[in-house]
Amino acid sequence: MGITLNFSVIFTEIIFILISSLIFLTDKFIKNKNYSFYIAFITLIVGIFLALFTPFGNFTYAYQNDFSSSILKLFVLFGAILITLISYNYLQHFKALNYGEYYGLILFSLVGSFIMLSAMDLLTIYLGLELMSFPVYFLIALNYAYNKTSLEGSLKYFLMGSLGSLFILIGLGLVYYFIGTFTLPEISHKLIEESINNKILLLAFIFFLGGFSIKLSFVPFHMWAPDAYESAPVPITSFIASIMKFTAMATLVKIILIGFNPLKVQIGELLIPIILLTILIGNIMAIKQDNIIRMLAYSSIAHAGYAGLGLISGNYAGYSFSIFYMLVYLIMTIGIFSVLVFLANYKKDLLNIPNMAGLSKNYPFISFLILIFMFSLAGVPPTAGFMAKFYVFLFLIKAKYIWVALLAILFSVIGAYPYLRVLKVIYMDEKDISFEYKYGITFLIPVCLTAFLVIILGVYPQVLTNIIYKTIYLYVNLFFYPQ
Amino acid sequence: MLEKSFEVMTNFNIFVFLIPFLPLVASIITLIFGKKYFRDKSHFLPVLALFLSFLLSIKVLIDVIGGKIYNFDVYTWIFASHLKVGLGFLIDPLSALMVAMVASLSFLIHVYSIGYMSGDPGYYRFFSYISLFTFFMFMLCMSNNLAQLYLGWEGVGLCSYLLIGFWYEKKSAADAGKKAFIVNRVGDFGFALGIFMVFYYLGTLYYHEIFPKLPEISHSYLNILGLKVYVPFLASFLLFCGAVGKSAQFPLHVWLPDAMEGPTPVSALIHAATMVTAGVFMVCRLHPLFELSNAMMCIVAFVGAFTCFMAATIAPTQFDIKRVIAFSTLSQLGYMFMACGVGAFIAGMFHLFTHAYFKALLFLGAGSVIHALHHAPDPNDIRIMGGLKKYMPVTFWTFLIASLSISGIPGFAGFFSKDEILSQAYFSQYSWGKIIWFIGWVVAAMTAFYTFRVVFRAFYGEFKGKDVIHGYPHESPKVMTIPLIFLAIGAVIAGWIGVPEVLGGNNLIEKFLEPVLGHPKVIHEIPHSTEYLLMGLSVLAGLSGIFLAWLVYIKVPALETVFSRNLKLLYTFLYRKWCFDELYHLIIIRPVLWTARCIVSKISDNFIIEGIVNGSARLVNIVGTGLRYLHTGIVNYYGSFVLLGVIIYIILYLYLK
Amino acid sequence: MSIYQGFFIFAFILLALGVILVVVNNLLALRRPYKEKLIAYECGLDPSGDTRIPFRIRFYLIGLLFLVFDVEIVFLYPWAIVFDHLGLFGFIEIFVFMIMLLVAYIYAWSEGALTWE
Repeated sequence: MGITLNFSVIFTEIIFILISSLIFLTDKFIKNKNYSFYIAFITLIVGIFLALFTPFGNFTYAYQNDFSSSILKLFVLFGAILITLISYNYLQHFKALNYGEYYGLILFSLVGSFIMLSAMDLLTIYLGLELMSFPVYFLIALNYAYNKTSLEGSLKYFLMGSLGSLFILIGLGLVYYFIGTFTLPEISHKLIEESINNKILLLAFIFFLGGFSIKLSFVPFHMWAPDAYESAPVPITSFIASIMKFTAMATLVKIILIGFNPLKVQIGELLIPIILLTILIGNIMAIKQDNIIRMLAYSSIAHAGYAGLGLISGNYAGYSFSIFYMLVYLIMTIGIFSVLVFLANYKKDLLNIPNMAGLSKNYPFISFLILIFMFSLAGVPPTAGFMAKFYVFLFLIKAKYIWVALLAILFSVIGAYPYLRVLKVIYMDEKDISFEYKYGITFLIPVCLTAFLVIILGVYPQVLTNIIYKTIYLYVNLFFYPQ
Repeated sequence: MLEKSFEVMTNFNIFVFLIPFLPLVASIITLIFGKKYFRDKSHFLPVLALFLSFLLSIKVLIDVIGGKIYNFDVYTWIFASHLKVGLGFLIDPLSALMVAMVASLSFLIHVYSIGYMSGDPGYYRFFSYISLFTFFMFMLCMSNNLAQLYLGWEGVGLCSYLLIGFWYEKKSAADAGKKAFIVNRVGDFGFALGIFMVFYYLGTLYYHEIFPKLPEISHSYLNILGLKVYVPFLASFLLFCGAVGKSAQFPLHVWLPDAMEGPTPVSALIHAATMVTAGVFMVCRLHPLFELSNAMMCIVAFVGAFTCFMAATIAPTQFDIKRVIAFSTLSQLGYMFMACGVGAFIAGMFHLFTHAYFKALLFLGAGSVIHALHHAPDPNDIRIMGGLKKYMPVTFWTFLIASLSISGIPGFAGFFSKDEILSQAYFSQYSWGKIIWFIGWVVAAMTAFYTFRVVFRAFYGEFKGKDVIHGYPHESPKVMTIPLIFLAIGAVIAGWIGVPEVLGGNNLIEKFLEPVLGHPKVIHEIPHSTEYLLMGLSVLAGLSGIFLAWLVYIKVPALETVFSRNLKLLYTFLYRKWCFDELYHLIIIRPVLWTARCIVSKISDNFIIEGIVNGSARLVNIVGTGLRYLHTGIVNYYGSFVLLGVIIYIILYLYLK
Repeated sequence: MSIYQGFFIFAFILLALGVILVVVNNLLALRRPYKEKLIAYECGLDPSGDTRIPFRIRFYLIGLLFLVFDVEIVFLYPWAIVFDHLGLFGFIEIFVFMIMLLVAYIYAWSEGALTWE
């Protein structure tokens, strides 16, 4: 295949990079403090249109824009818009963070995410991974004015991320040495046709897994997560937890489905101890936390584990529900962190769970929102969290990994405790909290939209699951009929 | 199942969809905003929603009469290879009739409640709950699969619990709510097992797929502990358990009298017309399954007969007007099950239909009386009533119409439906038909007796409660009496749709329901003379009951205490509702509590379960604390854990596999 | 294996030498420590003050910036060699690359990363 250069295919990324550079350059010289927010927001809206209407095609053989990548980009953009809105709300109260670079860095990170989602080449995936992670390191460190440990959290994340990149590069090297190409469909073909020793490729995949696991915070690669999450600004925490994990999971699914297709089942078996350990440790560590953000950090470790259960099942439906789980998790996370932004704005010590006692008396709306999101995180029907968990477990059982499913269910029972404890403190403890508050529209839109989606997806998930099924079938087609 | 050819609509129809969802939306909005914003006007949305639902149900009924059937799925909630659980509606003659009946009654009772519940602090809650109940009842009736039926089943049980215990500060009301829910649960457990069996043997939960597949299991047997059990028998038996619980048949009838703690409109709606009839509806809907097993039909008939008889013996001894009507409901439900048990499903549904109207009317009339006497310490007691005929004329006349209807006086609705049951029982193909007829005939007389006992004591004679309420009662407001008038009209004309051929009518309802419920199982040649004779006998029974009541309560008041004085033991047995409560307390509650106290609490609770629960919590605690030490905060250690993890992985997977 | 034979022998000797030197020393050396032998060397005087000096972060920042722009130059070298084969497309491509880095440079300049104090 020759090198085709349709620049129109990467138009979205080009626009984002240009606008972000513009923000970086001009923010110093513009008097209006919110100028960068407006530009970033408009760019994201334009980005949605671009993602919908960008023509399908290839930009060299490394970057391919098709139905699946457009849809996944749309999900990421949706999350990014909500996060930008809630960031605006947060930055009104935490003025020392109000730099233009904040939004510029978010846009850069999104470019990295898009590149990862559209990549057809392992090296491009690596490029996207780095591009996605670097701005986040800076974003976490921005919080220095309010939390001195933010530098520490950022540095820890940076070092662990570098370690992960190291492993990915080792894996890349192994793949290149034995297969001779980076392009994902070709790797699969060479695996089948030339029957290269599977074990070597599995070794390469273990290295990849090590690298991606750090991003996805599987155990034992998760140790950066609580520190980074706790010390970052709250909207950035939700960005890391939702969008970065979603992208990493979608990319991992793509790598497995297109790149290592013959090894699906073995990869699934390989993942079992990691995933079970992830769910177990994520849930256990969440129990003893008093800071709600730290608790949510550990719970996000556990949820990445649940999504990983779909990877274990090794059948196409399982993979699509992995992505579905991550999407549902994205929605839930943005929702709960938006509520936490509200609490942090007005009374910072409310982020400590025992201090939340009696919140329901004077703030029924906020408490109700927390109720919805906590129920969804715990997996209570009829919320989206239950639907996602149900389907993941269903396909796990269908793939005959019954004992894995049983253990996972057992651990998820342990994991219900942290969420219910928050609810118990809010609803059943007798204390009085009162503070002045105002519901801004930038708070109401993300929160109401995500709460609504959480409930709707719990009752009628068909629309989204069908879309995600289609993306998986597209990947499979790519495997059988490479472009 | 469908003998006549119908036009089946399988597209989504917004009218059918709105019938249950309008009350649901009204219920939710009233619940959320009722306390602060609606307050006294909380009735507006539910009444409006119910009115619209009623109009839509009439439209749907007209469609069905014109030959259309709706059978569509709205969406599939769970679709996991064989299991398909979804929301779907089936409107055929059976459900259209049920829906129209529920809608009309619910609407009238909503209007009635505006007057009855005015001033109550939980006003908005009440309307929210009865709208929610109506939603669940619609879902139950209109469902096209067993899962949605179960949803509606449980939902009406929940709403019943909420509404019985509506005045939850009163301990007896809260207890009654609990009792209703728990007894219902026992039945629902069997019901769920029945649904599982149906799914296991037939592979589907949708009606239109179940019925064609039934012949497959008509010869299959199940081996349980060495006994060969006929599968349709076991399945229908388990499903019948649910009906026994929901429709308060023996032995799960104990909750219904206590359920009278709830407000009277609740008793009228739930425990007379709709929820308790859900059991009958379910049996009629699944009648092909029940008909496969003769033993089951026998059980259904005799459970119904026993309940019928038992309730009719208790009712004449009760002094609480609502309890009398409650036992009357038990008795009439027994009639419906007796009808089902002899294969006369159409007659059972017909009686369900007419019974809804005159029973609701009886309850609402009683409610009107109670409302007028509400200053008294026990306004339900008939012993303080009397002579209300001149103080509450509308209530009196409507109550009288309902009583005549239930006693089976010709011209009123009850006559046609009850008579249909009795004659079909007598001529039934099943061998127990004549016994059923006999029991039904005797109970008809007793029904008339205890109903008119209430009529004569409450409305005739002198008003005995003058000191208790410090004055004289007055008629209830129009918002309460107008529904009574409508119901009275219904109690009369509801029967005219089933005038049998022997009397020159067309028996419209039989023709209407026949495609769904099948031809009644009667012997082929029905001699008309015998039919006239049976009719005459039942009218005689009714009239003699009325005469006896007149004799005891108007003519010779001294006769009243003859029975209670001379046959004291029998009287006490009947007064204490056949001592069922005491029996259950003795054989179930006390042993359970004793086991709980002595064995469970001491050994398994304190020792085993506490050990496991606390132990696992302590284990998690220890593991968590231990893990905390691993998360030191020193990045170098983090990196080394990562490296360690990867190395262990590589070793494991490459050199052990 | 046969190609790298020499290398492996070489590596092995190095490793062995290093290990032997350290281990044998540790085992055989005489150890008579006293205070004056163990204190830090400060040209014969008694040590005063803290051994740690504050590290100027500026150095790290300079190093970072140096790294980025040095890598840019490193990328320019191969381009310069095959420049004439690449034509206009190559020229515009490297131009875009340099504009990206120019943006970064302007940003660093405006943020004051290039001043010493």
